[in-house]
Amino acid sequence: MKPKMLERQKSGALPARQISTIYRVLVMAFFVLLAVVFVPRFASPGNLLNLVRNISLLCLMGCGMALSMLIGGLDLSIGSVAALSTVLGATIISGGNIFLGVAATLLMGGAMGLLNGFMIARFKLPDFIMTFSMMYIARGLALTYTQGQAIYNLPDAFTWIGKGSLGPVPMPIVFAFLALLVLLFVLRRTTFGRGIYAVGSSHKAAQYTGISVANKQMIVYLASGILAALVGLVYIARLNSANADLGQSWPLDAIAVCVIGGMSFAGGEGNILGLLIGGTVMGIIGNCINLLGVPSRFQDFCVGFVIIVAVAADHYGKKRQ
Amino acid sequence: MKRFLLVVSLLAVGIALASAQTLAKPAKQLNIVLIVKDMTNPFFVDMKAGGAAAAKKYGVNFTCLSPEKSTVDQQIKIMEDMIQKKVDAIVIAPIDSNGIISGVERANAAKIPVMACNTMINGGDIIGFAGVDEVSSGKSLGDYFVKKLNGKGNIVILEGTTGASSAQAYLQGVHQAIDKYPDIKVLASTTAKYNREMGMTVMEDLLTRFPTIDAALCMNDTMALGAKEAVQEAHRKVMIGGINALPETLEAVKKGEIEVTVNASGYLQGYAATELTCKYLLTGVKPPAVTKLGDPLAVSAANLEQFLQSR
Repeated sequence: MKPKMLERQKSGALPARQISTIYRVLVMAFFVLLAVVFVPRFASPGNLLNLVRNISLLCLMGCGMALSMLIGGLDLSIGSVAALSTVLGATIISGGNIFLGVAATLLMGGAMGLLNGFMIARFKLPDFIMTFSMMYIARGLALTYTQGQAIYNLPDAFTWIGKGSLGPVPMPIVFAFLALLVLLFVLRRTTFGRGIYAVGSSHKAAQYTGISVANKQMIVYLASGILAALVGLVYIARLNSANADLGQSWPLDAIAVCVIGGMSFAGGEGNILGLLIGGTVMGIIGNCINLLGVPSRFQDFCVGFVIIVAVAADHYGKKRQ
Repeated sequence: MKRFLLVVSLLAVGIALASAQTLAKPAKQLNIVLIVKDMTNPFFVDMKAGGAAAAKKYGVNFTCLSPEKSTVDQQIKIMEDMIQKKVDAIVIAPIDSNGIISGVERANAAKIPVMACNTMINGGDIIGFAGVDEVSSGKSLGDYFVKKLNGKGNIVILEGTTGASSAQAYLQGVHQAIDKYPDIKVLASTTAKYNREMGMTVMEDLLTRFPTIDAALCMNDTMALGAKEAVQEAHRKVMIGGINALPETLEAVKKGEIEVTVNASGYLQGYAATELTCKYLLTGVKPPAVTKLGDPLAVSAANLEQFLQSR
């Protein structure tokens, strides 16, 4: 326990934290440089637009995961919660009532998230077990509800939130920007945000200083559920269809984004802007695999390899300090 | 044992009367049940119609049942009920090739013949299997584009989940069709994991990578529908093909957004499996272990109306 405390104190000091952020940015810059130099057409405007759009979706996925990781937990249910809430919402949306459908989707996502938080906070279920079970429960309900059929032909006014753009900026980028901005404000400028870091560092210590751990956990998982539903909405708008198989890869993608961005599994550590770094690295891997024509069988290997390189470089940098 | 004697005697009578071309009528009315995977899927509605037509031809009573939720456990429960009802034969399209085995074994114990349809059964005693294999579905898709492109063009292939047996079979079929044409260039062949999200992102990247793509061959409709969104967003012209003939894809074919989708006729599969089972019951002739049916139908704008009317 002692060395860990010491380390935390050290990384908590401002200069060290800044150095580690700089190191992470360098790692990201290295990947970008590699892609620009070695991947044909990577730097073309069309590709960069696609890439940034995908990076924003990854960041948006990472937002909910970052919150649960900061508090020392994990939300494995984000993909399934997104699937369940969007198939319910899409039924209403395809019926023509867009506002009600969007509200229902976010409400459903929030409800599933709150249930996660409630069981974790009140019944002391381990975060992993609760959200892991919720992953199956929500997926099962979504499959039962749709009977495996897609809900499609969503109105154009709705698909705008995924396909459209605000001025020249595509909507997914707008959403990611807003989400990061809000999180940045909440985590840095509010007592609630600092409370999350405190709870993540040590549940006991936080409790002794009078912070309600249960309260923080419930709100964090509630937010994670709502964010999952939001990502789900953007996705079904882009795909112009809602299906129970949405988001199967999201939990692990989001974890990768957070970890590459410097979040710690132990909780209480990490800068929300790190998500931009994690999102960029993960986005570039996916993009370059296709641009380079990496054979299907070898693709998974490449993803794993790059994640290890990115995280290892980051840790090496921390140690050097 | 009784049934065996009946079959043997029928066979003897049948042979004796063969020259007169007379079909021996069984002493009692036979009952066949067809168990499908999911009645909410139009594919299985077709399969039921095919089975009913075959049974009618042979004068056999026909029932079609489907699990309420599409699970193999419920299929087994239906099988148990049918064993209790002492039906004469069960034709089944199992949801899971392995999961269904315990049901087959129970039918075996009750000496009720089981015929597999659409999907293979990996254990127990079955009298045979009839279905359209995935290789020919892939080949049908490839053939369509060979013809459409006049044997010349740039294509990309979106594969299924790497390692899945169906993904390999579809791909093999596509290559059987296109490999003979050196002017058909496969620019890229990569996986989108049978998934709509990936179908879209992979297609986006392929559109960036290649300035001209004539056709995208997707190994299922779900990926094709994702690829369609990417092509529309990029304002490009790429013919997209899929497999399964999902209702959503058929609508897209009608709108001209998707070029073609391959339908492995449920009707034909239901008909063939039921017919072989009827013949087995009436004459004792065991069907071949595997009956592969003809090429699945490529449904494009040209034959869409005709296809929709036929089902």
